[in-house]
Amino acid sequence: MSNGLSVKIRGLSLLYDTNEVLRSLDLELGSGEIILITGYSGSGKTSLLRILLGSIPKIFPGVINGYFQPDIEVLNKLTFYLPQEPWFGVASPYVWSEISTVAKIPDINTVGKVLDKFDLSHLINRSTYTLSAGEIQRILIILALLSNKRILLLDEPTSYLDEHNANLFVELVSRLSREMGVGLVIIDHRIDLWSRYVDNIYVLDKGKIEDYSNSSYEKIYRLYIDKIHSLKRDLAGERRDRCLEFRMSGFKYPGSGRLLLRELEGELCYGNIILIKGPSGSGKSTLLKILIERILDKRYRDEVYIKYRNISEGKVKRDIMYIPDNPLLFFTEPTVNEELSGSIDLLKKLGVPENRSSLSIKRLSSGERRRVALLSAVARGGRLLFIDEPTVGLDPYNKYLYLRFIRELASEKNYGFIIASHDPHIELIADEIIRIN
Amino acid sequence: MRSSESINRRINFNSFLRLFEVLLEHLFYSVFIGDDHRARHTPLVVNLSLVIIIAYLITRDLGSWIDKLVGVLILVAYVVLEIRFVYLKSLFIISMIPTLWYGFLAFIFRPNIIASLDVMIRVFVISFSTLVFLQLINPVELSWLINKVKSGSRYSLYPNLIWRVSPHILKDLKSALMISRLKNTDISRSLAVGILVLDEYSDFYEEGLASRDEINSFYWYDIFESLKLLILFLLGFIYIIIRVVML
Repeated sequence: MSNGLSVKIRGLSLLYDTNEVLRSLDLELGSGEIILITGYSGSGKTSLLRILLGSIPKIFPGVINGYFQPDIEVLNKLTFYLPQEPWFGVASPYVWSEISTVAKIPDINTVGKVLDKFDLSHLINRSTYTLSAGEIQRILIILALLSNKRILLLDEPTSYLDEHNANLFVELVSRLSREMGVGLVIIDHRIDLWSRYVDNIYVLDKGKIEDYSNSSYEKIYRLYIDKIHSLKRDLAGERRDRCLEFRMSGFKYPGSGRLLLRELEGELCYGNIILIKGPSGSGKSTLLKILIERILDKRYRDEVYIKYRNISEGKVKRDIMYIPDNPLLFFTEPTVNEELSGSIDLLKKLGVPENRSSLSIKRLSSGERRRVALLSAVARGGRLLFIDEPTVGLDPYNKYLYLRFIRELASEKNYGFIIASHDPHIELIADEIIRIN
Repeated sequence: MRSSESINRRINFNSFLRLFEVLLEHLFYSVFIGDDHRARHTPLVVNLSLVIIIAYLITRDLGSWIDKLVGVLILVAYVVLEIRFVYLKSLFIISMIPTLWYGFLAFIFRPNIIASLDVMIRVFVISFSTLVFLQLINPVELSWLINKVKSGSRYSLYPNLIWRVSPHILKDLKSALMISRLKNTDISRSLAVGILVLDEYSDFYEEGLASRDEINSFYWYDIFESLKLLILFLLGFIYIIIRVVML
């Protein structure tokens, strides 16, 4: 079945304020083709998707010029968008109602049959709020396919997925796209994951697009991935004395019969990077927050036992900082300069241009926010840092800078890091791994 | 290094924020979370009528304390019928906030323990039954009803979106408050960032849902669950009629 649509774009440019975000960009997508667009953080990848979707200029500002075939307004109506944070793509409180809206399904039995085809019938009555990122993405894929749209726009769809689920997702979406003849435009940094399934890979660099195989990006990509691999060897962490030992008996949310976290134990030591690793939805972020609340407020005393070794409880409380997966929540000041209390020289350590210091926090990209949040936590005296998904959306170069910075702080300045993430690159620099199944 | 004055300030500030965080968490548990279940497929109008009957019996002076007792019994039956589905601890904690406040005010203006207790019982029963009602509201039913009244109305979007977005925002607000405590910054700064977050979420949801041509779902009623509540409502209603006629 071919349901696809050919798209031709010539001389596309996007102006935002006085910045030229995209410049004379040419792009073609054949009927039912799959293309991957990669590139540095802030190179204009998401802006390109937003133009195809129509959210620029309808929701976000920008002036578009260029030739589109089909016409841009027609194109906008034929696309289905899967946002990077998939929960923004869900409108309904329950899975059954979400499925029924898009597909105009008239009864619950038919919804059950649709979900059954994708092995998701067990989710039918679940609150969409309680779904993991991986589960939401699978629901959104069902919606996209049921919506009869001709092109799917995927914005970093594997960001919140562990390796296993990312592989499953890539395989599923590529297979369904081929079967249904639906075109895919994917934005992602994980080239290795997609390379087997896509027809073309492009690189966006400073607003211009080029073939991945002809670009310098491939060499840089490989270089920094290799550099991440050697970080731990170059900056080895030592076992330190000042630690918190914890033992968890199990945890479930009030009113929920499902045990989210089972028996767990570990040590959080100054001078070490501890990685909490597990599949999407396994409770990594929950564990992070439970540990913080246990230390700060003595909550969950029945569930979590904590022992302080060679360090006082008060000192630990003063040293804790928490950076959530949405780094915007970390900020309490309107501009970068104020957030960093004037320590803008720190910015270059993480590859954030110093001229960003006068910007409003809202104007920063997601990757820049993550880096500024880390710098702010350090500038404000945090020495035991709990960080949730720190590398989502970072290209290999910026990821390398980020990981090198925390490895240096741990090894040379005795900072402690407890990181919840499924990013395999963090595993390469971690001293200990707490696995959640 | 952080000074001891700053640490003391942080501890006092922490206590206030902590209380706020706990209340937020219970609001979250008492209203917004939970999977769909049969009790959420009972008519809104029956649930609302039950709450009105309970409020009427507990507040109106029909001449006997038995009326108040009947009001409490209907509330107990309302909870017991749906006991599997409500988060009693959170409902209790949230209901106690207006209860204590009104009890305190009543005692200030009229220092009589019995009178204050009477006020507290009334406020507690009304708050608690309202929360049970909110727990059992199905936003899909609200959207469906609005769409029935005016097909294609954009207002039919709101109930679903409110139930979908509110827990998301409450959870993030809780995180922002925790961070504010850790950074030892003024709560107003967290709230200012909270507004930025809201603004951004509104754009992201609008963008995330831009591809949707249809947003309304079907809905159905569970006959057995609906009948149970209807019988309870009728019992309360008949009792009120009898009492009014007797007066």
